[in-house]
Amino acid sequence: MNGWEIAVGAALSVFLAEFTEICPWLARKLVCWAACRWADSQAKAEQYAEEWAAVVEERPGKLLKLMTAAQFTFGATWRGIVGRLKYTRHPGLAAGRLTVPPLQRLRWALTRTIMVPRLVIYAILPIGLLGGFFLGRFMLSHFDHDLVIRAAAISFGILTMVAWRSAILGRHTRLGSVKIVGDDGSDLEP
Amino acid sequence: MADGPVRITGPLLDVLEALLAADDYELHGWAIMKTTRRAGPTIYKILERLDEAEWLTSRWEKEVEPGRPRRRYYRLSGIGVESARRIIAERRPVPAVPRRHRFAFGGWSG
Repeated sequence: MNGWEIAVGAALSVFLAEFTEICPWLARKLVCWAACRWADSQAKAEQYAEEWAAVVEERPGKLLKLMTAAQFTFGATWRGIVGRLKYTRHPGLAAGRLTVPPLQRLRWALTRTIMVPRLVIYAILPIGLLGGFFLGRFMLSHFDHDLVIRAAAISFGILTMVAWRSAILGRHTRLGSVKIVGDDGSDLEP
Repeated sequence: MADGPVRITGPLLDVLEALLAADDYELHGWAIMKTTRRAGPTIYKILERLDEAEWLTSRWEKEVEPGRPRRRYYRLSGIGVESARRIIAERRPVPAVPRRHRFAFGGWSG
């Protein structure tokens, strides 16, 4: 074993030890999040948060606690997505006054359910730019046309960023370019 | 008068069986999950349906150790017990929820 392997092994063991230590804390956070997604009122959410925390507490072992909390999280997320997909079967949509493609409905349901803070999304966006940069470097080392390749790589990065933003947040409204409104013009989004 | 849960499913029958088999028809969430061997979200969806149908009442645990979150107990109501027994008799004459058998130490008496 060389020095690097020893260092990586030590770092990994420290990370795993720390991770198992924070599992119960993470499990409590997850059930709180899941309860908020699951319930339709604040009071119900608080009730489920405490109740599920008690369920998680009953599980032996730190990883099992986290796994149980993950079950609730997936269940609540799924319920949120399905519930919101059902909501988009609005009478206005059924009557043909509004048309929303299934993919946009799904995106709407996902964005309203997962509710990722915008800051996190914008933090992810530079990944597209980095992807473009590394792709550009790779292509530069293999091909000759410097300027064209640089331009292509930057375009790729920008396009990836725009795609990310569009996919996660929607372009104009949360439904893309369509907004669901009632007959009196009121906003019918939940 | 409550109409009762509309859809009768396997997990619903499991939960009803577990509650019928419990002392005073009352169990907390984790006990139901453990008895039925079903995932939490499945159980809580069913508990919500039973609650809406007024087959269940629920209450918080009274005495709690400090630092531990309270459990919530679910109990079949009068109408719940009647309806659950009827449904179980119709749909599942042989119980599906595994019963716990404990071995008694000692020699054979017979």
